[in-house]
Amino acid sequence: MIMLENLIGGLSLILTWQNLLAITAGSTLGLIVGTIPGLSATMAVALLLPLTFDMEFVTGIMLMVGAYKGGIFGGSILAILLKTPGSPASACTVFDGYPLTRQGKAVKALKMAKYSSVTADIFSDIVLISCAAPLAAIALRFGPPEIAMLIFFSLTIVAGVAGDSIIKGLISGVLGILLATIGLDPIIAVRRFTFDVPNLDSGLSLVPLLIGLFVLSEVFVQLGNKKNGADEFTIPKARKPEDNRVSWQEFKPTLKTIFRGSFIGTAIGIIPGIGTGIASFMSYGQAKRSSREPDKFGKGSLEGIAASEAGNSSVVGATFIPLLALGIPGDIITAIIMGAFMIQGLIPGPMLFAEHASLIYAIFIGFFICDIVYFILGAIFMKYAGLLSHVPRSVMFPIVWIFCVIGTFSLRTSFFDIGVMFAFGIVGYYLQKLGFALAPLLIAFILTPIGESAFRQTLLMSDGNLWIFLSRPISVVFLLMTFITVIGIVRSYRKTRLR
Amino acid sequence: MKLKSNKTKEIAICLSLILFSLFVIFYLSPFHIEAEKAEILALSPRLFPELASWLIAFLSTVLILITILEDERNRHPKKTFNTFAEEMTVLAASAISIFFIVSFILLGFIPATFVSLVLLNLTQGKLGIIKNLGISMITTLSVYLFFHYVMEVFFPVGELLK
Repeated sequence: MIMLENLIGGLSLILTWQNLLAITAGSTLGLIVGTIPGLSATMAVALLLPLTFDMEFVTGIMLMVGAYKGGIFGGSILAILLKTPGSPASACTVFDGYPLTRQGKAVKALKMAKYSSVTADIFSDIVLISCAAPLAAIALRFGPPEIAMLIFFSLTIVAGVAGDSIIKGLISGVLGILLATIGLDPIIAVRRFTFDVPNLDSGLSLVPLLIGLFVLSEVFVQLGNKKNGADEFTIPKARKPEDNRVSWQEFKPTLKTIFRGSFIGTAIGIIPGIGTGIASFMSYGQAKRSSREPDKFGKGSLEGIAASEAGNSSVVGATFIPLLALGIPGDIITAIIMGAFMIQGLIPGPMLFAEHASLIYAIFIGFFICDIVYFILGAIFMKYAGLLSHVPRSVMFPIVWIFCVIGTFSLRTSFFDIGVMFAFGIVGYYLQKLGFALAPLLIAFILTPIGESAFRQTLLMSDGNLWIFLSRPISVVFLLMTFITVIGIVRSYRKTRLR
Repeated sequence: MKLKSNKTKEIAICLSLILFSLFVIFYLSPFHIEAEKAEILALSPRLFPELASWLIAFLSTVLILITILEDERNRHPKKTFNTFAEEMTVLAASAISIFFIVSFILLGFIPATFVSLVLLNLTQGKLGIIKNLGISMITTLSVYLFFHYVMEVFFPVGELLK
């Protein structure tokens, strides 16, 4: 009864033209910003924060939530069309989205991305509404041993995206670990490989590395690829009408993957500080391992797109679970949104549920409205993203080049970051040419800082005794999952080799 | 012949990686990590870098062995290495990237971007000079206006123009 009252109260608060306009504006900005390589949903939400100061509380929050959701989906559009992920969250979508584009199935890939994103978003919103408090309480029980084992398990994903050579993929992953150790040591704060360069004290920044490896290296490949002769940047046209749609027969088998990805993304989103990039890679790795057609992954699998998009989109709702239930931001974006709460004089946490329940329910309902709005806006965006196909190649890639530069620069207004991006563009180009997959490097680079801190904190807790990992039930579960996954990988690798 | 050449290149790459990892373990780690030897393993900031380097050395050795032992006939010839023309274009693009950073610092965003875009288009050799200048100018100004006024990303004035 109380919940019904709160729902009605929430509905009356959210259903105003100002809120609907805020959601539309936020989603539009998120889609635009997310589409530009290097600019992320974080930047869109941060840019909107000052605008919310004079707005009604729910309107301001909805503006930011719209930008968050739109930004995550926007990042996938160019990942599919141009192999240029707008953010780490959509890096995984490239693996199957871009091959589909080259096969003349760009619209099919975009639609699959949209359907899986929206489905996963709705899934995580439902989880947010129904399980906010109890789930956050479980996640808060994760100590360093559990986090270390979670990351250890996540690193098995590297084998799933290793490309043609598993050994080369592993080397690429270990290079990622090594690169992640540059900067201040996470435990005793001494400098590692900084060479007296102050900019390296905080380590290599993720955005320049990501843009350099995934976007700029591709620009170099395209600039160097003169053999085709054709100047126009061509998104191959669909050969049949079926290539422009996702039929129910195609969508139905991916539902299992979408729900698995949504579950993984939601679980990752609840744990503070892990983020969308890891969720999409984990979801992709699991989908590949349990797929009936794992060989199709990386060559244009709809299941692959569904897994990646479900993984990254479902994080969004879930990151609000620790924020709203316990006042702990799940990631950078929710930390910014927490700032908006506090500026309005509201402290997120259990007391907010007790004192302003209708406000919370208004936000919950707003999440669903956001899903509908960006489903519609996404369709419009996808239509105009197709215009990119008419831009000549010689114009397109220099423009992408300049967006890479600005995207990197705007992050911290640092010339050093631009240098890092160019350096990794060249490194990425040659690694690709030498047959080393880039995804393992990125995954390991993202996971290592969290994993290293947690692993070493655990060893400190146990005076260097590794048995501590076997004394904690959750950690044992992750260790067993890692063991089973490694066996599975070895077996499937041997099968592939025999074939 | 082509396969043998690829095999030699693979071994050369692996040997370079082994040398690199040994360089990290025996030079970079002792001299570029500011730490005394830790009593507890977890306190050593060298734990992860050295572990990673040993892993690179080990995996590269495994790859060399696989490459040597693998039957030539089972190897799939891959188009992994570049033609001279591709290589030159990529080198030119890299040089333009370095030029861009220097000119961005010295001259500011608009001149640096405009000149770099003109040069990048020249490496493609697909646009006529007028079209090249026009497109580069329009791109530079549109990007500048969008970022300056919409995204509120303010580009610094070049050192020489201050």
